[in-house]
Amino acid sequence: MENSTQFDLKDAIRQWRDSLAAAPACRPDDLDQLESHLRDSVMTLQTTGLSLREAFWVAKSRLGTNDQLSCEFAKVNAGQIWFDRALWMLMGYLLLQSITTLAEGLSNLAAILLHGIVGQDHLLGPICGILSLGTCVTLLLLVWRSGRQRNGVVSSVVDWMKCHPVTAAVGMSLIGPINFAMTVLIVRIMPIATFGALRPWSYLGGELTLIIFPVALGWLLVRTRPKAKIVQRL
Amino acid sequence: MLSKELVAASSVPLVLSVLAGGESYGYALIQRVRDLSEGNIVWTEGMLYPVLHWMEDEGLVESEWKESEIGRKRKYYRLRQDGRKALEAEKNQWLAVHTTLNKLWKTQPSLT
Repeated sequence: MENSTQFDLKDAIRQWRDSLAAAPACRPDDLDQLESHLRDSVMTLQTTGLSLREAFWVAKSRLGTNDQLSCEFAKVNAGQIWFDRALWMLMGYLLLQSITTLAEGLSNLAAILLHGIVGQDHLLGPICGILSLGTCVTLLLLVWRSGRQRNGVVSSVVDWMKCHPVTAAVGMSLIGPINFAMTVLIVRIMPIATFGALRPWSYLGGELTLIIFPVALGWLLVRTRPKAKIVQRL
Repeated sequence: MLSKELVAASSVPLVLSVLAGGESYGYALIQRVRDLSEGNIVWTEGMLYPVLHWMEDEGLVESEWKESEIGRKRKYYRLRQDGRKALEAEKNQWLAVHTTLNKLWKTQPSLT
């Protein structure tokens, strides 16, 4: 008979929970409830003489496969699933807006500062372009990296926004006006020809982001293609 | 063993009937039904939770996370007024089927 201490129930449950959490149909509350059930079941099965490992596997199979569970939960959580999808779509849109506006804003700010300090306006364009591009690429990479982590910044931000919806909405809506104010300032302090030459450069990062997003979307769609069958069945 | 269709059709009246005897949680509900049916009604256990969820959305039951006697949290369900009415309706329907079948089988003893 195997030594049941070799089997880490906590770890096994965490892995089982993570694989089930990948299905959008199962909300955290549903997962808590299923986990509670699994633990009760393991406990009872152990009293019948099964080892911890055996009890876990029997309890898990009695609960049903991930496909069965996510399929059934999808029926009752349909509204919730659409709400989450809409929320993420909105987040994606706002993220795109924020990143491009922030990049543009930074390059505008650099232009304002450098125009006064350097005095060589022909350098302004490339500097702004590099800043704009660099900001966009860095932010996208940061978001991508943290989005893949369980408790990364992106998840924390989404959770925070869920708790403070009004503050989040007001904060997001301020990005545009601030950038607009900066553009107005540039127009006032800079000769119009310099401004005209500068403008395409500060858009560089934003335009690149607009290319990266569809490419990333295409890549994600290709990667997730096998799951299309499951989606259809739901 | 019950057919898949009958398992699906009987899950709501079974849950309502168990809860009529007092609040309970998912795992205990399943065990109770399994014991009472002497192993004839065996659910794919995870399937009960979407049913409970639906019953809560319909206002038949209400739920609450509470600490159990072993110190772990469990979601307890209890019947609401609409649930009691639904149980009455279910009872009438199932008894109608049961009585009819019983009468038929009594008059045709060879079938049993």
